[in-house]
Amino acid sequence: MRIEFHGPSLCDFSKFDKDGTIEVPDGITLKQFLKIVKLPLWWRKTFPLLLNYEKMPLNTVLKDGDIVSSFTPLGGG
Amino acid sequence: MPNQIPVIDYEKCYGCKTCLYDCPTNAFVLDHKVTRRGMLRIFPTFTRIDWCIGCGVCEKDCPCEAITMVLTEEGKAKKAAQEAKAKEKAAAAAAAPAAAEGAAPAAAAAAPAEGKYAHDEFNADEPIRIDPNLCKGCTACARQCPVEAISGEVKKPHVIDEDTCIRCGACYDTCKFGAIYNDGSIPVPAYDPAIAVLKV
Amino acid sequence: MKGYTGKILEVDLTNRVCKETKLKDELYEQLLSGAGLGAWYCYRHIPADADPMGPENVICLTTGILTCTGAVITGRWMAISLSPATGGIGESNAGGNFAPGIKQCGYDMIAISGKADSPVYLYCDNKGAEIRDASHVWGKDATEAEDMLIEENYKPGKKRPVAAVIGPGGERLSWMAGICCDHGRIAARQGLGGVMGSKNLKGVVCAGTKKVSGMDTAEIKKLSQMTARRLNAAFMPPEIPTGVLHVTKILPELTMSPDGLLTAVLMGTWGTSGAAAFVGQTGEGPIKNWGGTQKEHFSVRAINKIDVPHMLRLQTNRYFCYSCVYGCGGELDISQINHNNEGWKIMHKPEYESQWQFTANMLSTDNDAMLWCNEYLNRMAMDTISVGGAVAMAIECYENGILTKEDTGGLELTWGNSDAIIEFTKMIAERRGLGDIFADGTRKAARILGGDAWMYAVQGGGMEPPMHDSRLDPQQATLYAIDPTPSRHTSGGSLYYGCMHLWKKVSWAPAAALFGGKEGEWTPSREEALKVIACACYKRVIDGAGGCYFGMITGVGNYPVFEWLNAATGWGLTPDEYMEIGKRIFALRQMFNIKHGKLPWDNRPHGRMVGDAPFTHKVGKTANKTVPVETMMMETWDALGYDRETGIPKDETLEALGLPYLMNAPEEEFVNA
Repeated sequence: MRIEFHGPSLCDFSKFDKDGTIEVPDGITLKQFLKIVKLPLWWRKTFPLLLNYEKMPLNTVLKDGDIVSSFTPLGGG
Repeated sequence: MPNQIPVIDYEKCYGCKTCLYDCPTNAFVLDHKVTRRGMLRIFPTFTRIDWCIGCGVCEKDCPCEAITMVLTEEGKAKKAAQEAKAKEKAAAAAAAPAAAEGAAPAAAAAAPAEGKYAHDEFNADEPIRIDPNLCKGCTACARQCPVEAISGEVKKPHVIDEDTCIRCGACYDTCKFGAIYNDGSIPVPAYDPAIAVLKV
Repeated sequence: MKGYTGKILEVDLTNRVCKETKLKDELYEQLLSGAGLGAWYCYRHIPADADPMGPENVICLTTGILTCTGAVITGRWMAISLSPATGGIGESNAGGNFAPGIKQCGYDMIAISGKADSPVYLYCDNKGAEIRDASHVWGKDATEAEDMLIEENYKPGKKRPVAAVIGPGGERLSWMAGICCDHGRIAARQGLGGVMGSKNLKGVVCAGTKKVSGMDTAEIKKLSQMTARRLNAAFMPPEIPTGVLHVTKILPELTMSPDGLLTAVLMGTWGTSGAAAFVGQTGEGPIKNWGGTQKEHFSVRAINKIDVPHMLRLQTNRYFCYSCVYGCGGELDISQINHNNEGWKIMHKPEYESQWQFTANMLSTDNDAMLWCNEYLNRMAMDTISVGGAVAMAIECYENGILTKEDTGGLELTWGNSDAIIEFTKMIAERRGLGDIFADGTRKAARILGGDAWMYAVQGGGMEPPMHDSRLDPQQATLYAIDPTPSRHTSGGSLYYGCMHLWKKVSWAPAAALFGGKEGEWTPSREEALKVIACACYKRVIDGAGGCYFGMITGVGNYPVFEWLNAATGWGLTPDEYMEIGKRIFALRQMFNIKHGKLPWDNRPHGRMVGDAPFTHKVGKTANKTVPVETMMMETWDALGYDRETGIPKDETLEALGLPYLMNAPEEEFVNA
């Protein structure tokens, strides 16, 4: 299944497609997905993480087309 | 005392202050302090019941549907009286249906019989209008209107500006001549706010 | 009702006449409301040779289509006029509480021309508008004036009025003055407060209660609740120290398409100033009047001294503008800070622009001085970006011998000297001594001082740039240059473009790479030009709708402006069609500049903003970063259908957008009798 991910450049984006999605095995959980993209544990614990724009437990099973978003710093205005 | 007053559900309220700034009588205050997620937030509170006119603009405008209008004691009494009257009417109509049907269109075409625009049939979903045939120009409604939507000269038929009117029904409750109605029955000549008179 | 009222108020201050004019639906279908309508009106009503500070100039205060319809984060109002600072179209944008006031008086726009023969203010309510005497509030600062005007027009049990006023800055005709509401939410840029001051207009008070709605309120509210819910989920506890953002030092590079919704995390918890550590580390924040680098001139220790925890310690509560659920604002208790001899109590939390301008850009670590300057300039109703730029320029001129102690009246204008910074800020606001030369911006000061002063007058098109180093963001550098209102970070930039995810809805907007590809931004290409154009057009749609920049950067999926507009108006347009409207508004503003003799090349940024030699940095994140801005400008103009060499829209482009008709057809075509 394909999952869309937005996160800090600390993650591993090498296997992503140009449209920002990555092919992952069916039925993995959010926690397993974060391991695949290598989101650092301390980042995940400090900053918010949303699944389809809601806060969901880490053992939530992902489905095709889900969007996972992690905080990226941006300031100003 | 208004017929209905707003109740804010703070579980749904995001504190955007639309109610506070849209209220035509400044009946909200910004002082409901809640520490939410470690930071102090200040939400609008409905406090000035003495200024509230029960218009329901706050409920209509709240983007998050966090406001519900609830009937006050006065409002409940009015509603009960309304329902009783409606029951009476229904019973009377059932008793003499043929006579009522024949009379209604004729009444609509000619000047309405007294009592057609009964005060207790206020419908908040229709525009409120003044029947120029019944209006005596006493200005009582204009003086009651909280948003100054009614204009006219003394002893001449008055007119309600539909854009300004918030359908609170204060004029409807005030008029002693049954000239204010909102069942959409008789069209009123166009109102031109630029010259504030009826264009015939 | 379709969200817009279809009516504007035209005020002639010379003859003291107010007139209501109804406009045809077709006009809104072509230009939306807000900044689009304002640009159209200004184009048609300001003569080509008008003096910006003269009676022939017109200033329009407008709201967008979505304001008061139930769409959230749409409480913005705009001021549009001929700007004295840039010589072209002036447009500034603010939130606070004033936007619903205009609309609830029944107007989409208030257009003010002429000049009153004595200080006046405009009062509007359900019955219409009246020009009233303002001599008793003339001279008062913006906070006091706003309170007084509201108090004298308020009757208990009636609608509480809202007001937008100018401060002493505007009264003294400074080109850096703005228009203020709610004690410090200010439409600051382009000197439009000075334009109001030149008309003897102290402010506008609105006390109307007219109904405003879109066609499908249920749909609008459904979308609003989705936005509110999502923003509610994007939360971070305030205990997280902002210092953690120093980690951005080790980020290989910025992610290209972050999730914009999560910007709310930083802004909501800390405010726009929350990213001080971040911008310091990434080099986004300019140092030492754009001439220094963080590595050489502003250590991490210094950044920590001015970082946002110092503000949050004083914060009493969060602040939200009208209809906002994002909440980037806050209020601070400044009664105990140093320098506060005036006894000020509560102040709006400074924005990042103000914070960085008065600290790192002047090498000052005196946080209290920055807070003082922010409140002072709020009360003077002046732009912290521009005033800060002028102060930084003056400091650099002094340090390099262009200004002497004699010129400064004994003041030692040195880097980081916060007492001098405060004093000079006062001199600018009061037009006292040397301050008079700097009160109209850096470009004018350089014209007066001449010679080497031009090296230190960092501006583009007459506007001091905000605290976003365009050396690092070529798309932003291009937008600083090609937007008819130059040097505005709210025109867009690659970081913002990456957040907006326009490519998900707009067919021709190129997708930002998820990661990597940042180096490609320094190479001019059609793709980069299209991203710039997409930013610019989308911003025009947002301005026509009355939307907020922060709503915009949460992304097209989270801030559904296209869907809201369709629900409000019933037009059923596709996103591409809305972007066409954005292109139309953009071209109209360009034509305004050309009509007033401001050619597009005038907005070419100062060398420091793009890293031209000899201003190229040698160390740090901005080292050797030069933006080929001229090539990018030409590429973008070409992609827009403008002449590549001059930036002037081609005739066929104007025809395709229907602009000759909008610009030149007689008035009766647009007015409903």
